[in-house]
Amino acid sequence: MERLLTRVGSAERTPAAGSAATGAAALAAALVTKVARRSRDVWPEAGGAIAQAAALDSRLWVNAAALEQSYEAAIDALATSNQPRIAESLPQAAEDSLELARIAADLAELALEAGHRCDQAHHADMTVAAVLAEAAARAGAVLVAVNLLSRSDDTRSSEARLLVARAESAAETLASER
Amino acid sequence: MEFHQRMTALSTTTDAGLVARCREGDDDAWEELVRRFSRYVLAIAQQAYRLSPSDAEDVFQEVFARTYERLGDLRNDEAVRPWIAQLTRRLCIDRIRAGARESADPEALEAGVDDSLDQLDEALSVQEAMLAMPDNCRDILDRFFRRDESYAVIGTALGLPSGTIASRISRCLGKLREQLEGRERARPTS
Repeated sequence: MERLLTRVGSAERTPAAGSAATGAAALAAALVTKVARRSRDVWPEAGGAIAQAAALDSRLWVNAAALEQSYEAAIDALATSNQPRIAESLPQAAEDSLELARIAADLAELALEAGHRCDQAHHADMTVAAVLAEAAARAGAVLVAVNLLSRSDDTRSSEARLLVARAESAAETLASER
Repeated sequence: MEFHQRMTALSTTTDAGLVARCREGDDDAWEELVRRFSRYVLAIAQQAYRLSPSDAEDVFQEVFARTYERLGDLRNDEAVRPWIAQLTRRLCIDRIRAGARESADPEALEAGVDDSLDQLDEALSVQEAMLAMPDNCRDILDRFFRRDESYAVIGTALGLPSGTIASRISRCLGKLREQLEGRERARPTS
């Protein structure tokens, strides 16, 4: 995480917003893992949540690398006004951003599940995990819109909106249970 | 029984049951035995002993030829997997010694092999335990962990609300763990 912060704060073009949002989602995964580990006494299936958090975390970082690459390609294409490359690279950057939103929405729902099953002393941790995941889903949706040049009729835009709604619902449910 | 049905039935037969059928001269059982252990044998040759694809293929042919000839020597049918593993290890070492590394030190050849074999055994155990799982669990675990599908995609495919997928996966992982622990307790030694 320290390395990510240093790299995001550097003058280099990447990593940028997509990686920052990935970091937020990865923190959500880490919180789910911690709380599940500390709840084994009251939650027999805590190991299942740990395994899912690990799988989602792994997907996040694979996608972050793809997102960096597609973002670089899109910026290069736009800088040179190369229309065929723009037509190829922007949709790919949108797809990678959408994948970030998908993984983040799943993390929010995993946090919701964990919040209901875990040792309730950690309920607030799961609320924060869901909020972080929601932020990442929302960031993914913003990047989808940017890369689609704000074509809100695109199916990816509507899927992104649904993903944000799912993540938001999970975070709000947990917040309302305090 | 149709061929497909016979092979499907054999795929869920235990290792010991499969060996018993092979001893009776059941050709389909032999086919299933090779199918069940082919990736294991190739993985030992290529991952644990780092043989080239062509050398690994030669070892593969020889392992199953000797298995066919010597299955009668196997004293405990349930121990077919460690028996095949041991046979594969011997043939891999023979292959390495016969090649450029003729004077290779046996200890050096075996360095790290046990760890690799442990990982392969674990992977095979998970694969076998997955086969014994109920269809709905096998499907949901395969979709999430192998195909990297999202909860929403899984929910749509299985007609379930996406909000219930995480808990279903956890329950199925619990069942998989029980399967693996049961197999571990029942596992024979070679």
